[in-house]
Amino acid sequence: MMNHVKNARIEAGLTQLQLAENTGVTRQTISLIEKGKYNPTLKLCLAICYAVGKSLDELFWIDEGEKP
Amino acid sequence: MKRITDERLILVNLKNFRIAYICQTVGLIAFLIYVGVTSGSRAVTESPIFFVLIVTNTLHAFLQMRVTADVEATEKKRKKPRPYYVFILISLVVGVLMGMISWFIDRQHPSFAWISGTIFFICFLGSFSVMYYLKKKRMDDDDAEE
Repeated sequence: MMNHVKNARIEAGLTQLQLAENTGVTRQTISLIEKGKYNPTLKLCLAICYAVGKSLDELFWIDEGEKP
Repeated sequence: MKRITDERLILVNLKNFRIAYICQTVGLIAFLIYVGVTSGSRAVTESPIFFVLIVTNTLHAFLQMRVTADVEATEKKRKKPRPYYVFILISLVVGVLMGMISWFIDRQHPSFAWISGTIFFICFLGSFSVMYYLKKKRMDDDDAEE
């Protein structure tokens, strides 16, 4: 599912590895989430939001009918 | 070995276990077929591998009941489960029937008929009880939600 994790991470000045360490997952998982190839659980979504200082809406919201 | 905390890798790990389980089961069945062909069906049932296979499948069937209970609870919403005595009666009928069949097959050993009847009764009652408990729990959860 597409999201805005990559932009938010760059804005927060974090590398994939740093975000991975902050959220307790591997760098590959962060990479897959950014590419929209892996759908994280709500728990991980929240951990990413806390790490980059954004809300769930800002990172993961998609309007109805928009391509996921 | 480091404990995996990555949720994606935990899922990958579970999928790996599934593949390994399927592979192992196919291997065990193939081996039992080989034993059956070369040494006869008695050798198959006497093999400890047969016992392992039966125990594993029984365990899987019991664990699967939780999934079935959830699916049924969604499909047949608000349908009350049958009273527990019905399950006792069904198990009793199955036990008696199997006991009678065993007795007709081998009349010289009535104790075998008792044993097989009791085993069937316990097995049926056990699985019915688990299913009844799960369904009742789902009903209680649904009631609490409303």
